[in-house]
Amino acid sequence: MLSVEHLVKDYRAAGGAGRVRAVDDVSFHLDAGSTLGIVGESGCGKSTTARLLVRLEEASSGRITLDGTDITHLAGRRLRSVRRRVQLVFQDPYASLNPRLTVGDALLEVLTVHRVGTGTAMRRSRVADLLDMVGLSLTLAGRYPHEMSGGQRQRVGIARALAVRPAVLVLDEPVSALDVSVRAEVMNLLCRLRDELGLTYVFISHDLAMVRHISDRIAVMYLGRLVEVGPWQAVSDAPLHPYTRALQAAVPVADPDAEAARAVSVVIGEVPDAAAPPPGCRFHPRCPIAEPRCGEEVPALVEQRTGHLAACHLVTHERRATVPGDTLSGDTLSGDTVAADQ
Amino acid sequence: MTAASRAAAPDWGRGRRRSGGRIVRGVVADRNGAVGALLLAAILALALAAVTGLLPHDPLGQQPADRLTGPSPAYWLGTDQFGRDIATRTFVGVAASLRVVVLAVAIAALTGTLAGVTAGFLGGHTDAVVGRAADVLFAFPAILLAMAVVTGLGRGWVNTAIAIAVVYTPIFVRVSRGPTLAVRHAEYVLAGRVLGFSRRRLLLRHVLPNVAAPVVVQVALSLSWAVLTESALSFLGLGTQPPDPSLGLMVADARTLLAPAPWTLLAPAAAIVVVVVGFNLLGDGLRSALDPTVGPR
Amino acid sequence: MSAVLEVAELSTAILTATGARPVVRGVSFAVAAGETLAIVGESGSGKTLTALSVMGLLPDGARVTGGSVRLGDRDLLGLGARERRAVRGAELAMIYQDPTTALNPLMRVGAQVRETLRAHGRSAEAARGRTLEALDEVGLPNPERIARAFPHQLSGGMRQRVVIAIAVSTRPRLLIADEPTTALDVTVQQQILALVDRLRADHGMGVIWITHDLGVVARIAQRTLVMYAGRAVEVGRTADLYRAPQHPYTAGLLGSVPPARGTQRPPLAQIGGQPPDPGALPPGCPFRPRCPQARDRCAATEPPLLARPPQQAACWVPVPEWSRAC
Repeated sequence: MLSVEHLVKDYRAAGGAGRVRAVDDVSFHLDAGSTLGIVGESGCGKSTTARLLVRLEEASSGRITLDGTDITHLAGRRLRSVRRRVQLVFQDPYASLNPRLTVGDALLEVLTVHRVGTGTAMRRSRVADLLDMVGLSLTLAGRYPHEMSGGQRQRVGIARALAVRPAVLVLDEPVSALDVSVRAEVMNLLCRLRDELGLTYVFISHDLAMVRHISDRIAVMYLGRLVEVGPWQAVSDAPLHPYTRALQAAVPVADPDAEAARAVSVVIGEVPDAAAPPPGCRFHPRCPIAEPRCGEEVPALVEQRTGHLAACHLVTHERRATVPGDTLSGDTLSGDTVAADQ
Repeated sequence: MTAASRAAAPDWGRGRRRSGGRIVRGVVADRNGAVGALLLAAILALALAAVTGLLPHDPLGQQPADRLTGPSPAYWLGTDQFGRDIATRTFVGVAASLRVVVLAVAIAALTGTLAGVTAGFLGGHTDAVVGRAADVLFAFPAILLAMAVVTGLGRGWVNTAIAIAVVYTPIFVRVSRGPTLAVRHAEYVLAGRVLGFSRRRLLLRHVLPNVAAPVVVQVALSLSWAVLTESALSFLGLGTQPPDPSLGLMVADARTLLAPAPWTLLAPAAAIVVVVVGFNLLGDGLRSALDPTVGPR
Repeated sequence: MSAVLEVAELSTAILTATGARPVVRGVSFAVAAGETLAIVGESGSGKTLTALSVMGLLPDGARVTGGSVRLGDRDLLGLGARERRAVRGAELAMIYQDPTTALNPLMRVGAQVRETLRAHGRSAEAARGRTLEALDEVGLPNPERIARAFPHQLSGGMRQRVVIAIAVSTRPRLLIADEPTTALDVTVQQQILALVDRLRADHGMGVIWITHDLGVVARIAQRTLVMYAGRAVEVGRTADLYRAPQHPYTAGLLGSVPPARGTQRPPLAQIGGQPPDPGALPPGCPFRPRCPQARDRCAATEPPLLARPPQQAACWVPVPEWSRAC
């Protein structure tokens, strides 16, 4: 359905000189009706990837294919027809709705532009359908964004994306700006819509728990690169890459017993500046198991188990040597240094 | 299809739109706006009455017998050194001022906003050129710039208006460019792009309405300052020419008559204050009426 | 263990043109030395205003309308502005959500730490020494160099460490942390959580940690207070409260978090509806309109915090009577 090959996005660095590679050689594939979760911290390139997919940004190189058609550089009318197939839901539903349009008018505008239905009466009833689909009452159609709650606004954002009947929905941190209890509502809504409408999702978040909840496959990004891709349960519960392990260990779990039992393992430092990424494996300065060659050679994203890829020299080496057992379990990851990396 | 949609095509209340009526109601609900609107309405009515000849005197008619008489039932605000009725002349002067000022601000608002929004929306070289041009115009003292333009174009009310417009255009560039820059990168404009909206639609329906509020407020404030600029030009002999009445000219004449006939200054000066304060308060009222996050009260 | 802070029946209101909106309504809790109490709630629950009331840093228009805030043997609400300032920074410290805006961009980091120490009576020389100690204590490498740096030269995590260094430089008895990790990456959050926890344990400092993140609570808080509509609706040991929540709102919150383990991914529990407007609270229990366990009696009187061993909950309906409809 949706395929991305060797996608690269460079930005001119702030200040003029040099380039920042926000997305570096990213490839993945999505089947119709499935959900790919992309998880990572700030500066990992997940939001840029979202913008590349919906063509808000031009890729520097690489290819995006939708149903076999290369859409990387489409323009004009053909781009517009792609827009009807791939839609985006933004993180902040308040910022992504025009403050001067009522909810009904905002939805109606999308239908009018794309000539969905004939005549205002038909479009108006379609607006009613859309609101109903996302669980909003029709009485909200006359409201302005500032007159609604965060959860209601995000439902409107979803309805607007659905107005053009897309096949693929790119969700860029769709629940991060919402309150805890509202997140659950929107997550449930997204799951329901995916099943009812047969949608394909790219679900982007920094929150591993949310990604785990909704994804079929999970991709982990670090400083512009994919470091691990695989089935949701394997990546979230038995990750291969040391970064995914660090991420998983860092995410606090809403279970005091599990937290108490957790070995103190603190990954050192912070994500380095994307303008001057470390050579070799980009995670190596923070990696508890790094070896000299990690700072020299860029590890390839290699299939380690069926459908489970990781970009780590040591994991790849271990697989080749078929060392029994999991020598990379939690305790080797522990490093109690809290010092920020200089 | 759901039950809701099978019913007749639903309408979500046109009455809720931010129509002209709602804005007027919003202005009146604001205390400053209400006072401003009232002041302007009153003086506008008197000015209209004066130019349509509804007032008892001819603004140019000289009555040598009644030179420099104080306020009386015949001459409400007294007469000037030629025996002309000051009340009539003041209100005709207000009309003359407003004619110049409204044209001037209209030109300035249109060209300035067009330039500012285009510069902000397109960015890059367009933005740099427009921004630099506005900076150059800003660098001149306002009156000096207006005087230079009038001197170049020659006299006449249209030329005065053009001169004032030149002075006020960069203000509108500045007022519209900033918000456009902000709105251009707003997520709802990005959302529109992802939804396949044309640039024209984005500019007209999503950028402009969100830039309009500061521009409208600026129109009211500029009208207020431009009344002063016009009066100053007339005072300096570069605006309205005698014997036509003008607030600035009347103040100029009254200068020499202040001791024997203080009323000759009082009327035009008060008229200037009323118009300036009126537009200023109206601007305040518009500011609160146009804020989309302030709901209907 | 002795209580560092005892808050009793604290009430705070925001005064508006249309009257007072009660935002904190009779909240009581205590924090022991060396203990972390988490205050959990969603936006508008009153958790931040509770903290600001304790600090005496309420925004314009908000005012404490009743109750007491005892730090040791003094009621802070009875103190004058000057005495209150002396307590703040010395005995009570606070760290904030955004470390960037909490630091002065034009002042070197060391000078900002020293400023606090000088304001609380340290000599210039003592302040200088203590500054380097404090920077070292929060795990910043090479304190001399960090002290000479400006905030923009540091990463987000290091800035939050500096804010913490300022807060703990005077060895406060109580630290109030208002979502200090929400703006940080999760790997950095983990470091900050570990740091505050270490400072708490080493110095017997009481900590109030305000958050909406139930995972963070589970990691660092010994006790938890859940707030809803300006009220404490449940208080208890974190482990007890998570294992067997006694208030339907707590249960709803915990159910809305996706589980971290397991092969099944059932739909998340939804609370539904929205929190009430503090200016127009419904009669009876404020959670009643959204509550799956609501009974007739809930509409009559607002429940106080009742004993629901081992914790306390403000709910008329004991757990055994709850329907299992959801």
